[in-house]
Amino acid sequence: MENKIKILYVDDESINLKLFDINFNENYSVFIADNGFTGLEILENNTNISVVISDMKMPKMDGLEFIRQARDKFPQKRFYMITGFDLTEEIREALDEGLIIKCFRKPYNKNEIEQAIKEVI
Amino acid sequence: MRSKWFVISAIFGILSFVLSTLSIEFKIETTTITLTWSVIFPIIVSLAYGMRGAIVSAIFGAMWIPIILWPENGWGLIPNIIAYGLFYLLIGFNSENSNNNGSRLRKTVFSTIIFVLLYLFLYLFVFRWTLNYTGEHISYKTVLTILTKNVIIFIIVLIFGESLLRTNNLRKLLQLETNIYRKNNCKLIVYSLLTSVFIWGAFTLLYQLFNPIGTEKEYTGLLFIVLFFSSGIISRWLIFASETQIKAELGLIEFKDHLEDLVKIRTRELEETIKKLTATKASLIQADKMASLGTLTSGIAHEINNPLNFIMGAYDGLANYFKKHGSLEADKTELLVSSMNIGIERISNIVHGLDQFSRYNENMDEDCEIHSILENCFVILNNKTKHRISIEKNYAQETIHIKGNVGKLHQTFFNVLTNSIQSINAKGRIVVATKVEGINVIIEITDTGGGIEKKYLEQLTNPFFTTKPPGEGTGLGLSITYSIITEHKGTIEFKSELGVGTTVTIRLPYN
Repeated sequence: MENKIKILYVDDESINLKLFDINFNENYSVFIADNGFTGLEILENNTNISVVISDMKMPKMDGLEFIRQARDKFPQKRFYMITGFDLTEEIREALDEGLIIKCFRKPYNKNEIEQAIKEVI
Repeated sequence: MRSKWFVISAIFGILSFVLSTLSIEFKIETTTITLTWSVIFPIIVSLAYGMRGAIVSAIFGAMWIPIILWPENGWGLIPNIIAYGLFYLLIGFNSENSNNNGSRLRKTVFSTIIFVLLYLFLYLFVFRWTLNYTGEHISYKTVLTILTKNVIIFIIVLIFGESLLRTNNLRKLLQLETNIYRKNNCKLIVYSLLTSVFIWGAFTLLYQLFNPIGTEKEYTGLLFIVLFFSSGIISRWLIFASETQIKAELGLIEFKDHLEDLVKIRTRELEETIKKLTATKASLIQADKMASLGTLTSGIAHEINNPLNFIMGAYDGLANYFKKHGSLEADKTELLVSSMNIGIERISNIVHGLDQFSRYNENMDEDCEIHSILENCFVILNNKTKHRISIEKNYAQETIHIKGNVGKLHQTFFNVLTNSIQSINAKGRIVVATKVEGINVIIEITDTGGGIEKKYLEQLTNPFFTTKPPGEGTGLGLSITYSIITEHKGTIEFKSELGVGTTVTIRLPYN
């Protein structure tokens, strides 16, 4: 159990969180948060989380803002974005400046995510 | 202005008439009177109208020479008539150039009537009335015969002269439409005088050659000199007097010509502007449409993608569950679960395609993968082609990436494909071929539809041009397509045959 990769998934839709947990907890240790603030808290308390995946559109603090803040504190973690939108200008910029490694699309593709995580760890 | 010229001519007509009457008092032969009329008038014309008029008058005047030798004096009237004809033609022509009111023919006919009446009056009353008239007796019958002959000749001259003046080369040769007064007035006077002197000199010389010198004839010569110079100088003076007016008039003519050009240019500019405006209007409508559609679809896409993500998660979870714990009816559950996956994929493709299609921005450096753009179009158009139109794809083997605007290229192919689909009535086929040829990517879309009438081929890309009934087509599709392709520095070409089908060839720069 200890050597499982720890993932934090942030999304404002609770169904998404539950499903992500169900589908990924077998191979990863999954942490979930339904907003950016909780996400940051979890990161503070679990410094050994290595992968962060965040939804883009969330109330109060959107995915990019959350990742920006999280990255300031934990620059060595891998950040990913997941969105129901097409690639927007700001996501493209985030990709270009290396803030996020990749942007996944909804509906998610389990293989794609697992592959991406495998590549960087 | 025209009436002014007419007055000038009339003054000289009367002057010559008075002088000729006077010459009768001095016992001059009828031939000489005729000579006076025939020579003085062309000279006045030449002075009034300048060098070219003088040359023309000289030619006509010279025609007089062989005829004066004719035994019958009455024939001497012919050159007279010709000279008059020319004179009035010139007046008529001049007024045509300066004034558009009334046709030249009407003016000429009017002048002719006056001329004929004047002549009639002259012969019937003046010559006969003159006490010292020494020439042969002229009867009414003779006068009428001469007049009839002259009128016929005059009409012939008129027709001939008119048709001559209507030929462009002659007009150019005589420079009838250009102004000679403008150039050099002094030079003009000298030329006119010299020319007239030459004509007059030639006449006198010839006349003297065939008629030995007598007192009366010397007197005639003197009279001619007086006549000629006085009329010439007065004529020039009058021209000078009206010079300012002439100049103003000529300026007006030039302005009129210039105005016509100006109007032409302005009209062309206006047409251009209207064309541009129409195009702008079209692209504005399209931009507006695409912008709101873009907002709408990306909103919808997001809203659909989220629940789709739920289903995807549920599918993943279920598939995993059955894998782990097995199923009592494995075949059934597998089918159920995998159908979910297929459904998700299809919806996702549609949403993605729609999102791509209506993506609205002005970026021209996006990565555009031609084949996937085409595929997206087929996904969106699927319900229009299903079971009806077979789609054949002859794609290039390699994937083709070009720099451009993804959303706009989607619209381009979507529009062309939509047209192809709409042109096919019942069943048909659309062949889409892509290839890289040198520095170009060529996308060829061929359908087996109704085809386009030849006369419409050139109008296809005009904004708001449509052959569809009102309400069914905006006429914007191909015009937008055209402007998008132009924006991508590409070209679009249509080949079509009625009843066979249409091929649209799009060339885009490959980079």
